[in-house]
Amino acid sequence: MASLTLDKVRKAFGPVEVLKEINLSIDDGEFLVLVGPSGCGKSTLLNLIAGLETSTDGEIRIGDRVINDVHPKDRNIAMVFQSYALYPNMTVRKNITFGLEIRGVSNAERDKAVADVAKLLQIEPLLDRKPAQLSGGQRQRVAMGRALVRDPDIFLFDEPLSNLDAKLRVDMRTEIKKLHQRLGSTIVYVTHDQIEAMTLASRIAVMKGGILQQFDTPQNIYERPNNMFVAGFIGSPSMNFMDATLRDENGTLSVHIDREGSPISLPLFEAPESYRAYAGKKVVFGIRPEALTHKRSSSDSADSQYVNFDSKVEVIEPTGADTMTVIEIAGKEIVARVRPDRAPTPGESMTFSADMSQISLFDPDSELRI
Amino acid sequence: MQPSLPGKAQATLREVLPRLVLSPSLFLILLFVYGFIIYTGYLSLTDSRMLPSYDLEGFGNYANLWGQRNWLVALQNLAIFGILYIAICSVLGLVLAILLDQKIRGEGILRPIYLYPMALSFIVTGTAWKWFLDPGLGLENTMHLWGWESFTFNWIKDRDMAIYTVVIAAVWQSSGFVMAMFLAGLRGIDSEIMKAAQMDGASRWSLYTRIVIPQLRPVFLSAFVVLAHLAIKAYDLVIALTNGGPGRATELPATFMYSYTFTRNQMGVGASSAVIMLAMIASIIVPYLYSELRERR
Repeated sequence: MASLTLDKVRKAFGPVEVLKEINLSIDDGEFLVLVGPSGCGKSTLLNLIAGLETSTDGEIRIGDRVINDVHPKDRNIAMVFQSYALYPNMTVRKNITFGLEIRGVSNAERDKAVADVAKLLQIEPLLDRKPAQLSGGQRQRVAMGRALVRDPDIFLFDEPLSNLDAKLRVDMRTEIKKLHQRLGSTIVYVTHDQIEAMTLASRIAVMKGGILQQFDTPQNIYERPNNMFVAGFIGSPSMNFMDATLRDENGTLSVHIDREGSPISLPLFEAPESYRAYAGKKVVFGIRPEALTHKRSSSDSADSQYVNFDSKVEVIEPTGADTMTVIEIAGKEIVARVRPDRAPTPGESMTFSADMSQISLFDPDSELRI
Repeated sequence: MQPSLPGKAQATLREVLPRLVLSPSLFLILLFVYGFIIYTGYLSLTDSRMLPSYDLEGFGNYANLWGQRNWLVALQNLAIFGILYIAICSVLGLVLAILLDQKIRGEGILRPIYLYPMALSFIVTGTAWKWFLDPGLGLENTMHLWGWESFTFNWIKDRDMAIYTVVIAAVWQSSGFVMAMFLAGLRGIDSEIMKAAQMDGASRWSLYTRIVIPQLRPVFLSAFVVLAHLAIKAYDLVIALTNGGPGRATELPATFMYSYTFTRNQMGVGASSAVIMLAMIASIIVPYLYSELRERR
């Protein structure tokens, strides 16, 4: 177990730069999730940590040890692959102990290590089977067992759940989280699934185009996204964006959305100082579906500041717990999250409440958070 | 859509047409392959000499065959040739494939170079190697011209060594093809498995011996089947290279069959040797086909 530091790490394949100056640092026992759309460089970054590829520039440290030029096998890292990468010609037991055998661990110790890991992952009955005889979830467990048995400093997971069906994925997600809590190991986990990132991580690194967009705790990333990409990528359904103008009305800033017929004006009662500079300018108004609900009053929740407006309902999508209500504002489809018993019928007009304490404003040019 | 009468006729035609088109070739194969297999089997039980005769005489030809020293020599040669040919081709093909799989530059040029001998007929291979191995013309002569007077390489004229020259020529022809098979097998191995082994700390040697080569088992089987039936059928190579000689030193079952059937007026014995060869090949191919077809299901 150890901390991990990436210092100005760059990676280029010829003239193509796939990672641009990545700075990350996690403490011992943290669960770091690298998340981003495909091609964002997250797997490359993981391969750099694993030592399967070498960085063009920068420094990678485990604890205080610089590992840039250390062979993968000497980094004391274990990795779980997307395809599980089990050796098809060996039994589960052999798969798990192969790494130990190569390292010259004695027979007795190997047997004990396998027994411990098998018990932990509940794969004892599978030990003498071949990988081809296992289901996807079982292979996943064996792959994790192979990583666990070596007791490494850092575990790397490369999209380990993407080949499982939806139900099993949720189960295994919980299991990985439990395992992390029990073992307290340092984990770096790559995924393109933002829900996995939110549920598992102690810290998330959102990446796009080889650039680290934001590196923070899940809650901070959700509530205070650095830019429009992070805001749109994290959260499902994703954040609504509307073109708006910030107006100064007698000292109170308000978000003004130009809508045909009846413009919407949403006052900000506790606007941060940073908003001042944008008074009278165009901004992008971002609000998450759950902050946009059926009509409520501020007495419902002390911290919230509800502002009401009317809109026609286009489509409703019931999910059981909530009904996603699609409305159209200034040519954009906006999703609101409404309690099922308050759900409207499509075509009807309804009053919505926006919780102005949970909004984000972005600069329309730089797309950065204001 | 309502099936109209022309529509119905069309549907019937669509069903019948493929069978109609295939039927001539099916008929020809049934007659000239399977028909003549049965005919040969029948002849092996008759007293045919120079011309086919239809008087059955039971298994006398088979008893005669197994009493022939020439036949036993041919079988012994086949054993030497077959084992060495299959073993050397497999090992050489595997090594070449592994070397070629190291992401080397120019793979696109090297691969066809190794594969090219397979495009040649065995007759061409045999003739070329006959000249190359001939002490008066080829390697030995060249070495002498270059000044290495004591160099001798006259296996092709040596009764005990001639069979090995057949092995050399056949290996030269086929190992590139086996390499291509192994290369395809290597390319089929998940690259993440290689990475996992690397992280497990496997050396290059143990990576190949413990993880990669065991996964190539199906390729070994395919290569064995292809090479084994080529070995049993081997005829043209021997004819072109040594013509069964010196003496009868490189006689193989196929050349034995030909000479007994068509030049020594022992058609019954020749036919029975052909049946034995068929049985040998069938014992390799049939289980293979059976396992392949069962896997597909």
